[in-house]
Amino acid sequence: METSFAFFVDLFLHSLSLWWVIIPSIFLGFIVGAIPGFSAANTIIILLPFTLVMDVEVGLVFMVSLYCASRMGAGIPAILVNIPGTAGAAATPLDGYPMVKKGQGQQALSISFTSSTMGGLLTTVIALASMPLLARVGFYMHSVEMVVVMLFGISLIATIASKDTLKGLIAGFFGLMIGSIGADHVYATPRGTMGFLELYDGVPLIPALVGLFAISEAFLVIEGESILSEHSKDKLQTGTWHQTFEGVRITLKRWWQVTWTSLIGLIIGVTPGAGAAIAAFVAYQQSRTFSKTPELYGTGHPEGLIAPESANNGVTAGTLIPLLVLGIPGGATAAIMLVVMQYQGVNTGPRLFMEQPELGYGIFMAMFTTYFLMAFTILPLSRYMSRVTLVSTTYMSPLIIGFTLIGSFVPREYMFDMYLAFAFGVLGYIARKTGYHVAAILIGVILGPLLERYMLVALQKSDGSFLTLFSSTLGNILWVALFASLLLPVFMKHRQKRRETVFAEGEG
Amino acid sequence: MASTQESDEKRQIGGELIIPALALGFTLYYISTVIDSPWSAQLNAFMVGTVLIALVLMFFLVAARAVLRGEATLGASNLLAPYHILPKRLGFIALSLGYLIAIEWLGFTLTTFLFMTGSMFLLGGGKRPLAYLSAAAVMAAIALVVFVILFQKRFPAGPIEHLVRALS
Repeated sequence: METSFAFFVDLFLHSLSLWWVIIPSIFLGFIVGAIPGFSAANTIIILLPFTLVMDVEVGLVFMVSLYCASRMGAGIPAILVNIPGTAGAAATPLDGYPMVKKGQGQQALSISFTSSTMGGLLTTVIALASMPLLARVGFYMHSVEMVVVMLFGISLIATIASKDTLKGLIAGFFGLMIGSIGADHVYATPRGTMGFLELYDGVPLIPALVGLFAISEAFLVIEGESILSEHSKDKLQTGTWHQTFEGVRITLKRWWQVTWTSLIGLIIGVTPGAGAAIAAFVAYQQSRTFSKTPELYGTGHPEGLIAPESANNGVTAGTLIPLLVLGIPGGATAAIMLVVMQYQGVNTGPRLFMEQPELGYGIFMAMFTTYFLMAFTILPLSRYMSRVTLVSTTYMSPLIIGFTLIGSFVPREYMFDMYLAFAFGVLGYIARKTGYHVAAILIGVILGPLLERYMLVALQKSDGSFLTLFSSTLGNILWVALFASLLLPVFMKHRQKRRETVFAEGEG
Repeated sequence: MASTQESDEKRQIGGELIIPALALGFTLYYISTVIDSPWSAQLNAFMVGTVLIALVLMFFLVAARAVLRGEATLGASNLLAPYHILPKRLGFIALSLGYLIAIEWLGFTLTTFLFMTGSMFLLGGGKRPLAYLSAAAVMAAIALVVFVILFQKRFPAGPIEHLVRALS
């Protein structure tokens, strides 16, 4: 079958006719994404018996819609109450939550939804247009290249540390050290586990996430009646639809930032083993590097919210490419989709696009339709959702503690994980009260184990020679880009200072 | 009086030493667990651990110099302030820990209800008891329906979970 423009229009119209599956899946995905500990993957697993008896097309559309919506839903608690629903939303509160504190919750949600939708739509179109080419990215990204990609994310620690270098670096390296807990990847030697079997697989991410961000926040916010100041409260209470439209306008105005940060997400999503958390941190760090106003990042800057939200939705399309084109699942949700496709007798890989192009391309079109419908169904909710922040801390703090502790139990069903979340909460509280950035600790916890894994693979392949890290052309290009992105802000700052001095001398 | 005011104005860095101290302690412990392991297990301990130890020692030196010069004290007011909230905060932290301990005895739903009610009474000063009880009951019921009945998560069971199981 020819994949002409008319073919894609037909597919889009056909996907739209499946609105009765897509819209409920959007709301379900939105809810599970917003609950810490729940993810699209485990919801799909729970609902697997239903998915298997559905028509294969309907089942896949249901899973894809739920997956996309959960990615967007994870940003809501991250913005409103500083609780990232998943690791992919870990960079979202860096600027989202300060916006809420300024009474711009409605605008922040609107920015998040618009950039997620734009990022998702754009990357889906690119994925449809260049699927065979993108599928090859995974072949070029070996352990050496992945080490540099991880360092891109970890370099955000240095950016955070710029406010108080020593404290920022201590927090980041402490996070990396905590991330090293668990059995080593080659001989399974337990390291730093304090005798807890539950830590042999490493530090589970959800307890670390909710502890560092949410539980510590719940201990902090009881200092006031509300998480908002009186001025911010008034601003939110008197808010109109204007704030939602303003959020849309701000995002549309930064269309170029949405484009390139979502592309970062797409490329990282295509790479097996990478994920939304890496994409979000890399996009945030790169966005700050090339911003005209880097000093505003972390204070509630819309650009700091657009970058991670566009990137983590860009990952969604990327994850499906290796699954459909090569038959290699790039993540947990993709792996479950593979199970459903195999159960229904659907071939993945190039044969899918030759024998059943309606299904192969249709999955991406369903993703496009989901993002298209989300623009109309979810965006209007931003005005009402932002009112959550008006709830008194008397109710809010116990709710945060209760539900995040429950959320930490859900993924593995270990009581230990609840205690771990509490311990991270106390650690986060001490860190925040004494001027250490919890995001720096979290970046270390998330990216540290991945860096170690790729580093070990690279070193083992080269009999322990560190020179292997500079042995590939793509890797070397990435190294240059990494150093350039670290040095460029220093150079720009220096140049700006010199200009200001020259200008001041001229004035004098 | 004047000297008291002067010492109050000094930077209190006692609280700031907790995270580096924890980081140092943990790193030394971590290194002790991999000292006899193959190099692949030691990679992070030496790549990350040595840098962290150097950073912490540098921080301690900077802090010690500030204390010796009289620019800072070892007080921990930045960690504990505002003091009028301190009893509430400690109580809330204790209740949160109590929730984790009690959940294994009383079960998920009942403990969630008791924790929510207790915390709301503590934080709200008991001004609106009916509102606290209703909010806690609604939240515990939602948690029961969503997590135990709908998603069948194996939370510790107590009287309410046993009752639900007997009725279903």
